[in-house]
Amino acid sequence: MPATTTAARVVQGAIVFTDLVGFTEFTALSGDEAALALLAAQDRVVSETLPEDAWVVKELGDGLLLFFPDAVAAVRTGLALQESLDAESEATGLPLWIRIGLHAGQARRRGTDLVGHDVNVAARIVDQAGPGEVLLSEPARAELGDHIAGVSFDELGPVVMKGIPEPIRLWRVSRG
Amino acid sequence: MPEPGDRRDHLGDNGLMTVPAVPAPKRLQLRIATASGKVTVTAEDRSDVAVDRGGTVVTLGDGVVEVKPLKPSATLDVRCPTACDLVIGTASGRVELRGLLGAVSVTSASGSIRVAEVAEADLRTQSGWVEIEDCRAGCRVATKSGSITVGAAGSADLSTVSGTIHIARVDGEAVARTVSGGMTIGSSAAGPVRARSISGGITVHLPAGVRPAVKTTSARAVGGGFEPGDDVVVEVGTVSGSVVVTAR
Repeated sequence: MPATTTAARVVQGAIVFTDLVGFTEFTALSGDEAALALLAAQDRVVSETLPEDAWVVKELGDGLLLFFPDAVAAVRTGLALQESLDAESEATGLPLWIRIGLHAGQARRRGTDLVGHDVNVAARIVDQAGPGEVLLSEPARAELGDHIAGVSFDELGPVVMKGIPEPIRLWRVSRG
Repeated sequence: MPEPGDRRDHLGDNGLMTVPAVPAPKRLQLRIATASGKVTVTAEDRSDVAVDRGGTVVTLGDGVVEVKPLKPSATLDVRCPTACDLVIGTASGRVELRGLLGAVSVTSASGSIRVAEVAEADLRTQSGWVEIEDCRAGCRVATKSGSITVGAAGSADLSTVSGTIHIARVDGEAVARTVSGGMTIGSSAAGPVRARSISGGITVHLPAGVRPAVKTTSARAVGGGFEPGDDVVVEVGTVSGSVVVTAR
């Protein structure tokens, strides 16, 4: 379970945004039924991949806000999601192209939602990602330490993001 | 008269600010973070990093040198050694890289990025365009609406939502994805080509005589002119775009 301060309703962990690239265009071309099938395929893969102690905070149209107790679980799940969606896309021809942005920090619970600066940062990180990519912030990278094997990190540099006062160092994580 | 330390004592005859050059360590990474000013970095035969305009040089150690802009909108002109690694983050300023650089990473919200010659590149901007003349190893580019143009690359992984993609020549694997933008990929057929779109048209040019194994998930027939074979794998998939493969 994530560390929770009940009085302040604060949760500490990894905040993850996903975005399904091209969903609007796909819906316009293929129709609402096809769009629902695309989202159902995404939902199935996400539910199969998400560990028990993580959860879907909310759906954002074609995207998701996820919360994990720690960055290690978030990175492992992010990479697994990309691999599973890639395989599903190959098998079905559906454009299951998602991008993922990940940040470690804290958030305040507001009902079932999460709000706070670190949530906003995670939302900005996903904007920087291309389809198939998992990007993470320096705090998330630092939290990983050497607790995750078989992955490599490529630095994107100090990234200036809208509404975020200081540039944040971002990394792309991939298998290998 | 300028006081000691007054920045006016660094003004050259042309009115532009110069700062004292900092000797470069052997293995160099240059880092720049700025908001909106244009950034120009010129790699040349020299051993140090110098700022001709808009910033100051700070040596961070471990071969890392940072150029700090004097103000958020400062135009930065920087010179560095050939093959220097480079990391740039900017919100809206245009980035222009001249000369031969090493591994380059540039991230911008809306600025366009022009690169002359690099060993490898990771470039991303949401609304700006990206142009690379020559990337010797792998180049990875992601935009949202900006077009992507690559002269030559060792390998390429390119994606855009509504921008277009044009690669004149890729010598290794080429992976390209667009939502609505069209793409043209010139491949030397030394590596597979994997191209996906939703509505954008896909065109793949191969050298004359190459016989590709074309795999498609497109509902429409693959046009163009080629003899099928197994010289190189070409995977194309689109929801509604056209697909053309030529080897003539």
